[in-house]
Amino acid sequence: MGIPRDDDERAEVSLSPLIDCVFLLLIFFLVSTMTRKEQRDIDIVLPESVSAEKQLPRDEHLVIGLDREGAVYRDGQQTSLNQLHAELREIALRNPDQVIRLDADQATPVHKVVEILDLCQFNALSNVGIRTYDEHYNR
Amino acid sequence: MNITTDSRRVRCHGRPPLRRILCISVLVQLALVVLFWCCEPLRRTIISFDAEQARKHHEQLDARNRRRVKEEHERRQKTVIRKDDAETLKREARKKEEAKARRKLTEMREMQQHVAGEKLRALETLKDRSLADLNKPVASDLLTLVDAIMVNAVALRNRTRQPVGGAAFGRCQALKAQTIDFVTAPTAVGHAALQQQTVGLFALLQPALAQAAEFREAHGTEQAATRFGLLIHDASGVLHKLEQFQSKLLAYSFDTADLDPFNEIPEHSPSSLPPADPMNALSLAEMADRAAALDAQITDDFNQLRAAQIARIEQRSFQDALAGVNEAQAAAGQNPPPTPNTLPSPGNTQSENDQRSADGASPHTTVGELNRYRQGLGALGQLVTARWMAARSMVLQASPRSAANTADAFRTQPPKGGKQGSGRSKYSASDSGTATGFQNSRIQARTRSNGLRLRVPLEDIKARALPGRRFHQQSQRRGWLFIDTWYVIGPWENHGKLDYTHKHPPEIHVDLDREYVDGKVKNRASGERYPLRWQFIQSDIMRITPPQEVNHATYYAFTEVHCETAMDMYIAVGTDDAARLWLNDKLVWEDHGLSGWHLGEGFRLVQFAQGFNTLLLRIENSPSLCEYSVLLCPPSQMTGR
Repeated sequence: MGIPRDDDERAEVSLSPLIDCVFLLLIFFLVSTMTRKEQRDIDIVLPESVSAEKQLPRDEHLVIGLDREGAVYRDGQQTSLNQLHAELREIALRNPDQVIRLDADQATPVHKVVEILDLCQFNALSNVGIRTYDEHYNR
Repeated sequence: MNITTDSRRVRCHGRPPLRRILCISVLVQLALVVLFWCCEPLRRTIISFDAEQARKHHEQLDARNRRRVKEEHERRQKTVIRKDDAETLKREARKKEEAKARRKLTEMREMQQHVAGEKLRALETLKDRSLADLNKPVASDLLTLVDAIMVNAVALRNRTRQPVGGAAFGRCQALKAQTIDFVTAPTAVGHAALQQQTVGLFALLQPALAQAAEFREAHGTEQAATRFGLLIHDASGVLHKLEQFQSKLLAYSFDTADLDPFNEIPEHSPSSLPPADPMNALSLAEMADRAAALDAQITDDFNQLRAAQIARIEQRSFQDALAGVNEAQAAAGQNPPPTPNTLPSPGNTQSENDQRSADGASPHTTVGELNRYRQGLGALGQLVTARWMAARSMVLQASPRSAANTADAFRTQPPKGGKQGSGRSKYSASDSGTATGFQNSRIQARTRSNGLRLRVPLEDIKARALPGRRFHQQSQRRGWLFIDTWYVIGPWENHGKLDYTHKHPPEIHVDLDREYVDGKVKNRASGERYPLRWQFIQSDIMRITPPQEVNHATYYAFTEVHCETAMDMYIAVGTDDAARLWLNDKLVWEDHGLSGWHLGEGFRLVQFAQGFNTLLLRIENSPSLCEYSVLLCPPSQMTGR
């Protein structure tokens, strides 16, 4: 049986499954971003460095902040030194390999930074990094 | 070249014509010329850098950026949003803050119950104290005084070489032996014998003293003045201490009626807090008030707990100890509670908005107003959080350590080759009894200071000691470790007197975030006292000097030590001048003299608990340098004993 060559109907991609896929992806990203933990910004100016190792921030990291007056923040919320002592002790018991990121203002007194580093070391939390700012990183 | 002619068009296959190649090459060359011509200025430009200009440029850019940020912020603040949407956002923010505050309040209520329970347990231990407990401080003082009397008696005998010196020395020896017997087994007969002995000593020395004074005036020579001057000096020293000894002896009680005020404790009053109602109906401002009330109650209970512990250690009445604690807290001043910014309270803003809506005002509001509302909520939330943190700090220190930790923490084991104490070892750690911390009395500390003698090569320790605060079996750092990291606070006024009964706030509660206003140093211009804060110190040498070192002052140093397992360790304390050291809230070392720093000033064998151990050092400075050092060493790693 011959196939008519002058058939007007042409093969084309159906849009319905494509829209389904797009919506599924959209929902996935919406849900996954909602599980991000709440973080707040603290007003600090990071010290600059061009040789620091480039690492992407992760939600699992514990972020300790130090502003220029020496006030201590934990995940963006101000905390006390007593509280930090107790929390680091609990973290060390729970997860000794916890990654800790120290965000210190460039004007923070060095002894405050040393104090936090020593506190981490004393609690056997050795996976500590200091966050710096690289001006060329995002270019 | 191969040419096909299948139509009217002629196609050429093979090499392109020479003319086309020439055209292309000319075009390429022209392009290159244009490119070089364009780049020429770049090549010839000298790049110069003027630091001042760059700084100005940077400042301009910075100012411009700040201006833009400010403008953008103002623009956002003025952005108009629908009032209904704003109300929804406010409601959500309020619910979120209220949930957080409610959680913290619930925890504070649990903390309050915990501290109240600890307080009751500590108070219970004060109810059944015996006459021996009541007399323990007196007994301790008698032992100290008889030691001082012996020192003066030895000097009297050796320096004057008079018969009266020998006779006095013999009587003092008898007095010491009788005192030890009396303290070991106190009886009325022993008490009378001691009184008789002191009377005999007075009868012996007072005439000799008067006679020596007469002889010195009668002879008038330099030799006689020296000879009788020494006798007068040493005999006066013995008599002075003897007077103190006699007054202490009179204070020794055999009357059980004295136990009533001694063992009196306050009646347990039910908590004045509002009942533990569900807090769902409370607003955020009400929850902040509730947190303040809970904090005050926890502080009150904590002070009573500390007073009970101090009363137990120092064998004082509870009311006396509580007065001391309250005095220290009052002198130090209270930290002002964090006040929220001068913003409209969330409740007011809500009502204002409602009012405006009711009046039929604009159905729109601004982002700025919404943000102010959120900041007001955040400030109230911070109030609750600050109270919660203060309460938690107290609860952490109110919790007793495990029974094993407390029972053995002050176990004394004389080292190999060491000497036993002179009969005072009956005051063992087990006498202290309870498991609520602060358990060892001054008698015990003094017993250790007289009982342990170590022969250790101090120069070797000085040369080899390493810094450290963590101890475990596989550590590469062995031998003596000096504690290099401390939190230090001070100075407080001590008026040049050594008075351990006057306690400062760190002795009651170590709060690294607190600020105290009763410090010694004043601002010369304004006359106000500088506030005292804990300062972090890390030293690369074992001798540590407190910051702001001044004469006649008291300092406190706090640190923690981690031990992988419970272990006995020698602890070597050196201070200039006097000091007290607590390990896990138990007094393990005490120094009364104004001696200079010496590495081996005091050695103790103490047991450290598994995990974290706290060390609190009180340093009393006289008019000279102020230094201290604390070294630790497990007995298995000691050399040269």
